[in-house]
Amino acid sequence: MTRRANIGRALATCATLATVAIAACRGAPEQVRGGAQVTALPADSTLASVPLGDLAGATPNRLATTITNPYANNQGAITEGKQLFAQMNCVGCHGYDAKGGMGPDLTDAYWRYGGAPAEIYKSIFEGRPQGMPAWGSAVPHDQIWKIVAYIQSLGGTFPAHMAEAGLQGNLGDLDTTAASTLKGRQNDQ
Amino acid sequence: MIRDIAPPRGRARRIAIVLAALAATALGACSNSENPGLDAAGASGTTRAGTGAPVAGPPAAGENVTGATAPTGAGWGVPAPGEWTQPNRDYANTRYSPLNEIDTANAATLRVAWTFNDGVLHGHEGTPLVANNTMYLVTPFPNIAYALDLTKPGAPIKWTYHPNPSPIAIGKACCDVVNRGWQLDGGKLFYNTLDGHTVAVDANTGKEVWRTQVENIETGTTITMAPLVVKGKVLVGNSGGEMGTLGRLTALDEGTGKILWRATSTGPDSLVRIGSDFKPFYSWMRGKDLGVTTWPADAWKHGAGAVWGYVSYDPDLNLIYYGTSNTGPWNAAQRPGLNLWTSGVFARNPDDGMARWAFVFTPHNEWDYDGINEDVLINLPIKGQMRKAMVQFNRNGFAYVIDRATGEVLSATPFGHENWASGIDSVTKMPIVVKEKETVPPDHWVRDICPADIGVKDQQPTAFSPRTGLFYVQVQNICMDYKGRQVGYIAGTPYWGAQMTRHVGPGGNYGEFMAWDPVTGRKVWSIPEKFLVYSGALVTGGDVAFYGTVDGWFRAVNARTGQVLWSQKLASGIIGSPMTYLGPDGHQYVAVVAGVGGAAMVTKSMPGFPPRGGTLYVFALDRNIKPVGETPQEGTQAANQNSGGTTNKGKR
Amino acid sequence: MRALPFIHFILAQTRLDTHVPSYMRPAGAPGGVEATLGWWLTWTAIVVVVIISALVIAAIARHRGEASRNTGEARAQVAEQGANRWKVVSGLQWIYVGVGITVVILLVSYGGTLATMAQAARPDHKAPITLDVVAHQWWWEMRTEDSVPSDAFVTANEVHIPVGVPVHLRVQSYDVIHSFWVPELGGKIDVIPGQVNEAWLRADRPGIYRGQCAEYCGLQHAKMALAIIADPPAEYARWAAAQRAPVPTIAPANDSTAMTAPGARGVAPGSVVAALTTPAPQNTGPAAGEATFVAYCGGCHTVRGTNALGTVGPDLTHLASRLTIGAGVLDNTPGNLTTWIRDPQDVKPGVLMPRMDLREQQLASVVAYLETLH
Repeated sequence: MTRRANIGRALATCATLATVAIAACRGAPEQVRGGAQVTALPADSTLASVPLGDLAGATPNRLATTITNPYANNQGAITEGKQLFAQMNCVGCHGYDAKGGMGPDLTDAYWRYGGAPAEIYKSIFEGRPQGMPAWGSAVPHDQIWKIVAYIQSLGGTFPAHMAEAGLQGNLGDLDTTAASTLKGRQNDQ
Repeated sequence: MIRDIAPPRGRARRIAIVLAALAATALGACSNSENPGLDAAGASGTTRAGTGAPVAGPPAAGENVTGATAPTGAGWGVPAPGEWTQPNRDYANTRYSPLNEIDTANAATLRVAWTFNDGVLHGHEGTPLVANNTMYLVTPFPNIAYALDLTKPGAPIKWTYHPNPSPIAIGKACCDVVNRGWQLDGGKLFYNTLDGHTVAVDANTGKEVWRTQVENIETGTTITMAPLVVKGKVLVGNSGGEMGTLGRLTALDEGTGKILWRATSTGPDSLVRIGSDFKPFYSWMRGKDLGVTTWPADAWKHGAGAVWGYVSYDPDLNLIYYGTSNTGPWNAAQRPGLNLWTSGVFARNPDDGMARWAFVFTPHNEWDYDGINEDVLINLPIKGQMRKAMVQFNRNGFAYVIDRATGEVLSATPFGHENWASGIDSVTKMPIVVKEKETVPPDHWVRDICPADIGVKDQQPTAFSPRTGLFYVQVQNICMDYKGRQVGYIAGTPYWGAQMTRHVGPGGNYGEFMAWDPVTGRKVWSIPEKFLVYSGALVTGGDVAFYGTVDGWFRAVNARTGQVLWSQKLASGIIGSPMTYLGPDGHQYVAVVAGVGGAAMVTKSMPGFPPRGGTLYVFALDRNIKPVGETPQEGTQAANQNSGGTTNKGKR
Repeated sequence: MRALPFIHFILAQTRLDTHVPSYMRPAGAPGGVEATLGWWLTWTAIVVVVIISALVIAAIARHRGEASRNTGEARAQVAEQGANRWKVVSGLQWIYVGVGITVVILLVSYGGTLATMAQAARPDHKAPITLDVVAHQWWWEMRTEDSVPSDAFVTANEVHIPVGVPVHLRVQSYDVIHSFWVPELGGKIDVIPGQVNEAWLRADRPGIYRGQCAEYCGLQHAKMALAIIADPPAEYARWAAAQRAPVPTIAPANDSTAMTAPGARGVAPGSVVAALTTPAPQNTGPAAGEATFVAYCGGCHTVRGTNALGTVGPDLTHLASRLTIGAGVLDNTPGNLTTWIRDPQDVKPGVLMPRMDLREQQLASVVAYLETLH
């Protein structure tokens, strides 16, 4: 080919590449939406009906067993939850390793107000007597579930379906996963 | 060659007695004229109350070994010898009782006379009080007050008072829900509840006279300290150094509970109550509004300086003394500046709260070394001149002797193991910080800082004996690895910003109880302890010092030699303060509450760490404990015979 | 048309468009001396290229002329030019000249570079103001300090400096690598986690100098702008005093004790949960907005003078005095503020501020409150 043709072809390639590059820059952001946009968080009304104690009349308390954490086992959510755990000063009472201090240990199997995800969510949202503040206004629902996901990753919580077993004190029924060493564990008060 | 160790007989003995009498007279002449009674009389055999006979045996080798004395006279709040009406016994905070029935010869025969469980399982700090043959106890949260009738066997409950404090306060207390003391004055019992109230209770009937809210728990502020009643005012400080509180001391009217004045520990001079009378001794503490300008903008509002320790009072100078807590947040990178007036001590006029002088022990505190430890007021010879001083064994490991009229630091001597400061600057009296132990910048581990945050000594109050001139001090040997972390202030939550692990210091013993010479700045004797010594100290006219360990050993030691005379294991660790009183029978009793908790819980992972408790123990000499059978009550005699208990002791 | 922004950008370099910052039009130091060096090197390079190109083209043209003749004629031409042979054949002298010129230019450039670097390294006198910048994903935390600790104050994304006064710059990162770049004032300063990098700036003319994060740092790296506004010294002093002051509180104190701890106003999180179950207050004004703000936003944001003292997000104490919000992504207007708070993810996807799900009335009252923060 002639030199002119060669030069012409080179210029055309450059122009094409440049156009493609510009097009790519403009095109990408429209598709990205922020955060781990999760499908459905449990509704406030459902959570509000989860009782704190046991139901009068020896009716089995099943509601808490049906509510799972949509973020459980979601690594991104757990990381975010751990960050929030520090940023919202949870670490000040519960320790940087969540093993307690001013407040109780969150890695063990003792849960004064219930250790199923819905019960932990409510404890954070509503606050609890003896000093757990209510975070329902300061932290949006989404973020609270992520904090619960982080706490679940520490191994001491109950899976949702075991909420009733926990209420009845049947810790032995719990699976002993690698993260949880419940059997034989000592619980400080 | 075997020496004859029997006491000298005959002529030799008479010579010895004469020489001893001469020595005693000489010493008596040298002692401070303010304190003629005990010093001069103490040397040669004194008549001990209750036994009638003078003490036999070799005379003590010189009474007061340092020349330091306790101030005496009217106005110093010293109760009758058999009573104990304020936490540290007197306004000088000496924790010294003149009772001497229990002495170094018979202390080994102490045993339990009776016990009382107060039904609460949190940490028990504080000192039981005795007046009018009634013992007064206040429990940790929920701060129940008990009056026990000492005239009846078994000291039954005379009345109980329930203030019903808010349980939310439990979540705001950093270091257990303790109560550090209560005071009797004018027929009323005064104390603070965890949820920020001060109560006055009729000492006879247990009815509430008044209750005032002093602090707001929603800001994370609680109250654990022992109030001090001075000149008709109840002085109340707050807690919350880890919660970003604004530290302050409040004065309430003793009769009505109305708030009279408040003085903060940080902020503009108007809030700190600094006026034209304020004359700090050191130039770096002179200036306008230093409580604002030594902080980033507005940071003083959450800078802490909480007032959670004991208050002392000098009636002659008309000054109260108290320390201020650590600086908030612990993460010092967020608050450049000297951060006045936290981690320091104030001297104020109790009538209006205006400050006379102040001194800051650890400016720009990076390690949580509070300044709140008790300030014991003593007089001691410095360069041949008797000076009115206050002595504080500070968290930062230095024992400060400060002129209590002017705030001049007369000496600052390390009294335990510390490695964060290489000394104290001789001009400014600021600590010379070791660069490797600075905890700024944050987000990296600083290893092996000694002492740990709880210091070489924490709030547990020492005792000073005017007889020996020595202090009896609890020393902590604990170090930390520290990492500062960014923290934001969210009201009602911790404003801390520090990640820590703690470990024992060199030698492997967490605790130590020692006698300290405040004039020469030296240890005279020392008893190492495996567990922390977190109890208050007590020293008596019988030259016996008492202290307790965190694993539950309550000990009596010879105040001069440090020899352990007696030890008793109690049901739980001891973090409260022992006291001594005369019972209705005229005999001496020693009381202490066992119930581990408080900041001693930082060592709770030690093997053998005791569980919680809440039991008051009262001890007396074995010979003074009468079995119940001798004062029969309905059913009691029969019960005793059936149980085969203590009725048939040969000697009685 | 897709290429429009690109063309606009190119054109803007030649126009005097103050909204597009350019390092080629510096307004202060050390950007000034660096730009001078840059221009010198550019012109030198252009001149060199022009000369070389001219010579090469001349050589090609001359060579072409010779090759078109036959060998015999070429030799004749060579003989003809015998007298001038030394100009063409004696390349060695050209080399001497070339090398000489090159060396001189090189030495001058090198010397100039060293001099520039020395001038750029530190200001001529000690900077009285320190600007402590902490880069976050995706906003800039800025603390202005001088020798008095209580003079220090914090803003976000926008800061003023006095004209003609050097400012000591310290940059650190809260999370990942960023790069601090205000083109009209200085070069890029990498912001690296775990270390503090130091530099300095000085604006020689009043104006608004836009900056940008210059190191890819995540999803919204492109929307991480900053602004340094240079004011005459008197105006700067006024601005700094205003920034230092806490905002006056609007809501009544809820502390029942005799003396409130100053700043302990506003409503703590715990007691607002009750408000969630009661009907929303009719008042959508700033007072209600302050209470809502402290309860909902105070965990992450600071407004000094209230109980909102969180440090997770930007300091908003004097938000109404700023030109933009969201690190330059929107102009600071009530409408934009409402849009932003309602759903920050819509404006800047991936930003760490969550949707707070405020009711419209609460949102309106919060925006009304924020508008009072001058």
